Amino acid sequence: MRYYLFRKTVFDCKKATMLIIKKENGEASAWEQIQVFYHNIYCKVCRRFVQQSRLLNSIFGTLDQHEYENPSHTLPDQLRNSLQTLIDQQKK
Amino acid sequence: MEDSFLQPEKWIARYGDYLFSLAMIKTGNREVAQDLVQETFFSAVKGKDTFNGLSSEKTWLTSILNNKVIDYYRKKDVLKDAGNYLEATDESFHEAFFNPAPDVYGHWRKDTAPQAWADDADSAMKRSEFYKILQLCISRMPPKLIPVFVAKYIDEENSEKICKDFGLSSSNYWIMIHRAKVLMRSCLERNWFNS
Repeated sequence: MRYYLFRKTVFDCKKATMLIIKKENGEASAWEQIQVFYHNIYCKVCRRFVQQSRLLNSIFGTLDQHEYENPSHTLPDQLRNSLQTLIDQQKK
Repeated sequence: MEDSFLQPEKWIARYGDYLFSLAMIKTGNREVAQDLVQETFFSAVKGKDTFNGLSSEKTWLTSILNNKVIDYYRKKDVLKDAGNYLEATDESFHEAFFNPAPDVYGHWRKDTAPQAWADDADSAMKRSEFYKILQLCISRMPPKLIPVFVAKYIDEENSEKICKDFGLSSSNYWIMIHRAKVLMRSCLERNWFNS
């Protein structure tokens, strides 16, 4: 019975990870959530994928603030100066 | 300091490098990034009367840049024929991460399956080197996936808006997000977490 349920619901890890990603975005249907649930009971690697995927989401969202505090690139001086001049002229 | 009023004379000092860095990450091209930043400040100067003070100056300028980036991708037609592209590359994506038919079809390949990570995420975020690796992994993604990945995970835009901006069907959008996530996870694992 267990094996039957597994075969019935748990396709492959490629499909499972796709549904995991939909699920973490609140976009998986009830049936898709059940499929992920059953898949993950048997699949340690996809359980790990769930954890890592969540972690990455929170990390990705910090890139913007990181670039604000420690920009990885510097605006070329020539452009910096011409833009500053433009803005200063507008003010007058 | 984030004010609800604009101080254009301080924009370049405060946001010049930041916006340029975002543009670099999003386009991967120095010339293009310079153009987009220039256009952003042009539009901001012209449209400063439309600033309503509901968002911060930083958020306002970033949203102008983001619209320029979307326009750039649209003009370049980066996401044209997304469906055909995804179909044509499905097999190579599958083969890189999942077992081929007929044996245990679709299960993770042993050599590219997610491994337990040696380094934790908190310590990663405290280190500037990590963000360099993150940017490296973004730049190594297939060009068609980058705009979608960036909009979704870096800008944290909602899925509906991203589909609309890039003219993507919902199913193609999820395929792209899935591939981008699998590739990024793998790249960061190899180059940071377990390197």
